[in-house]
Amino acid sequence: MAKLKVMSIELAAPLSRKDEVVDYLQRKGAVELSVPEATERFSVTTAPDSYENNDKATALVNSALSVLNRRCPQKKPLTAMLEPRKELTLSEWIKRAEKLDDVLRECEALIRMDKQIADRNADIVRRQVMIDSLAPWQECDIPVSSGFTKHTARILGSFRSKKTREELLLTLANELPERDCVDLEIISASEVETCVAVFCLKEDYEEIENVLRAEGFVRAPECGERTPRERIEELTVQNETDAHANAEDEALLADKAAFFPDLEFALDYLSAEREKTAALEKIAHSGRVCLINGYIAQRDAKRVAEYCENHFDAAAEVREPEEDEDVPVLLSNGFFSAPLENITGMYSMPARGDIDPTGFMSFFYYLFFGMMLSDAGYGLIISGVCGGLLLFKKGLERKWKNTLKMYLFCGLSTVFWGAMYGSWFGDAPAVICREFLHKDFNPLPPIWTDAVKDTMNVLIMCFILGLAHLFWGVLMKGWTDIKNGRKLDAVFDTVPTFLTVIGIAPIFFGLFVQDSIPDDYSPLGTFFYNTFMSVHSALKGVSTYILIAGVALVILTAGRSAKNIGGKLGGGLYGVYNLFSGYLGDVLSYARLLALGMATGVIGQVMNMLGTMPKNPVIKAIAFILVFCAGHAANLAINIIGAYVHTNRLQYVEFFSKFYEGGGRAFVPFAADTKYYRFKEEL
Amino acid sequence: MSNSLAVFFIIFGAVLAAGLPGMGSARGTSLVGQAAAGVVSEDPSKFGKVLILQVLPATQGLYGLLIAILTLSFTKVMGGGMPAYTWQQGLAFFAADLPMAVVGYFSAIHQAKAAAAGVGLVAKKPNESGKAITFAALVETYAILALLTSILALNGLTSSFGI
Repeated sequence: MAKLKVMSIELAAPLSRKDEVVDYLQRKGAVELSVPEATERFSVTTAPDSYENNDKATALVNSALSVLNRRCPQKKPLTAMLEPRKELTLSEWIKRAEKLDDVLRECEALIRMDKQIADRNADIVRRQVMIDSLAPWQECDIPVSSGFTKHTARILGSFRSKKTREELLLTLANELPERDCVDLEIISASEVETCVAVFCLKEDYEEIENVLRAEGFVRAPECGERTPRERIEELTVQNETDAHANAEDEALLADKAAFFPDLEFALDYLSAEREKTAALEKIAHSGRVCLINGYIAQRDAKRVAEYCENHFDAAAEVREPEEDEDVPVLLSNGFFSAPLENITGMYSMPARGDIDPTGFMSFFYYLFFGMMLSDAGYGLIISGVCGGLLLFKKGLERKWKNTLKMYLFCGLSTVFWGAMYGSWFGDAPAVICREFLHKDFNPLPPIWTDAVKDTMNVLIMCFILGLAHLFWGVLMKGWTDIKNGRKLDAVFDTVPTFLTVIGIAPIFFGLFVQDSIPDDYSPLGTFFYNTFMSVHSALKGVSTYILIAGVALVILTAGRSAKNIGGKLGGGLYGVYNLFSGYLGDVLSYARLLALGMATGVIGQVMNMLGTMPKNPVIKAIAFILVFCAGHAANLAINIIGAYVHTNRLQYVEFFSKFYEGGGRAFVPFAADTKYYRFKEEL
Repeated sequence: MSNSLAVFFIIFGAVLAAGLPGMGSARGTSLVGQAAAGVVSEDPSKFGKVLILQVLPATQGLYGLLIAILTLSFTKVMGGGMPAYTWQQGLAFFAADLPMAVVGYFSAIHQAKAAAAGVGLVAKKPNESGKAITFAALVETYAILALLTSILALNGLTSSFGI
């Protein structure tokens, strides 16, 4: 439950074995490399070329993968993302890496094939458009093109409306009475298009065409020396050939499922190589020796150093980092708290003087999450799913294990609070008894109290838990002070705050306290109420003195870092103001424990109410089952996010602000950041 | 026979309590959703992180619904056995709903603005999503305080009217 001790490590190895050392360090994934200072004898080289090649290859594999995903879709089970990376031994890894060039060639072939299919499809569409436009000309037994003989002209074209031969001839006769040497033939006619061939003398054709154009005549597109029918046949044959070729290629691609592992490996390999290139840029070398600087967790240091000395003729030195070094932070927590390291990381890693807050927040984290979700049914679902996966899914990745563990604990806490509030899928047990068994009783009554009806007492509990959480944070502040050797600060940072807040508490709680409790109150609730009331009334008597002592201490100590007496006094008064306004806001903020809990419960109840609205018992049963499943699923989904976000907020804003600075840098070891494969642990 | 004006005030209060924060949440989630969609179009793996930010301004709608249901059930408009109210009593219940209705609406929209800015933060620095969430979650405090005020007021009214 702490920050791991991180050591500084320096390896000096023969230059000839640099690659071996780097490969080993990458597989081991235990060292964070740091950029060395260039000196006269040691220089650092960069290799931009290898990035470029790597980028090209990665892009190629990625596009091949997207082709394959499209052409050969794989059905993935719902739990696919939980699948662990497959393990490879070093020799298997090397063997597959040797095939990389083949894989890249295959990728190119795949992409080419995909492109061909697309091109052919475009051609097919283009030809089909041509076929459609030629269809009205089918009856024409000469090529659809305008042209001339020695004395005559033929013009082929169409109107965008229905025309008859007589109508057109009449128009021509009216407009050009002297040009009588003209004939035309209707090749096809429909409501939308009339295709005609016009024959006339060569010298007349321009005038005639102008007249026809005024009627909407458009020349037909030129299409070579063949008749329309021949052309249509030709295009159809070409389309069939292409469609056939496409079908063959598509079948070929759809059958490429076995190629996925190769592509996935190639991606992993390329990404590992890329990181290796980046690592090589952090290694200084002279003519014969290379120097590797970095950080390593103390627990791994000895093993890695010895391995390098024994296998690579290297010299390793492990030492305490200097005071002013920017040492990365590595957290290590037990079974219960490890899942929450991520939550700490999302805020900020602990800085040099900080303690690791993860272990100290875990109890309240789970407690508050449960209180906000607060439905035992939902808790059972969450903890059941997570617990089941943890038990029966073998070889889960650490990341997933931690996520599942976190929700398992959150789920168990939710069951606890759900039982306390008597909320099992809202008020489902009582509703089922009333509506379907016609018995008016609740088989699972709240162990403590119903949060929806007894808001005031629950609110008081929220504030008490909030106060405990805040005080716990103040204690952490004292603990941090002691760790950093400031014993006097540890007292001044904690005691005045405690006294002041405890002194003011009775006034604050007096606003919410209930004069009495109902007769049928639960035994646990009665116990809580009585205990609270006795502490409350006991405190009330002495609170004034505690408050005065607390405020006096704050005025005396809060400004202690100021230099002159005026500054000290000003700082003290400001401290008092801060304490009152800050703690009032902070404590009220814990009302969200009630608000979110109630929101879950009430909406769950509304779902149950909606489900039981129909009168007919059969319809009612069906409606209830449907509304129950869909409604509670939606309610769970929304409230699980709310509970997660607001639990984090209570930790970040209320708890961390009491003692935690943050701003440390997370330990990022040099490793192979792969997606599909990992090295088998054999070192 | 209860005063129908009182029932009108009670229902009107519940409608505002559920309606205004609901409208605010709808606007808020939409605002963040638009920003989130932009980020996801660049990097689909950020979906989980921006989704949390989008859901943040949705809680006001839930709180509003909570107050609406509490109003209807405390006053026994829902569930039967409603006593006779004077119109002044109805108006008092109406007033109790107002904090949630008004603050819920505005805090949802303002929280959405903070969350949308947080989406931008996540786009550039995915590791800082905790801070982005915190910035937006701070705004929600005031919705929670309004919720608390409404609950306390409803609670106080029901006990002082002896319902």
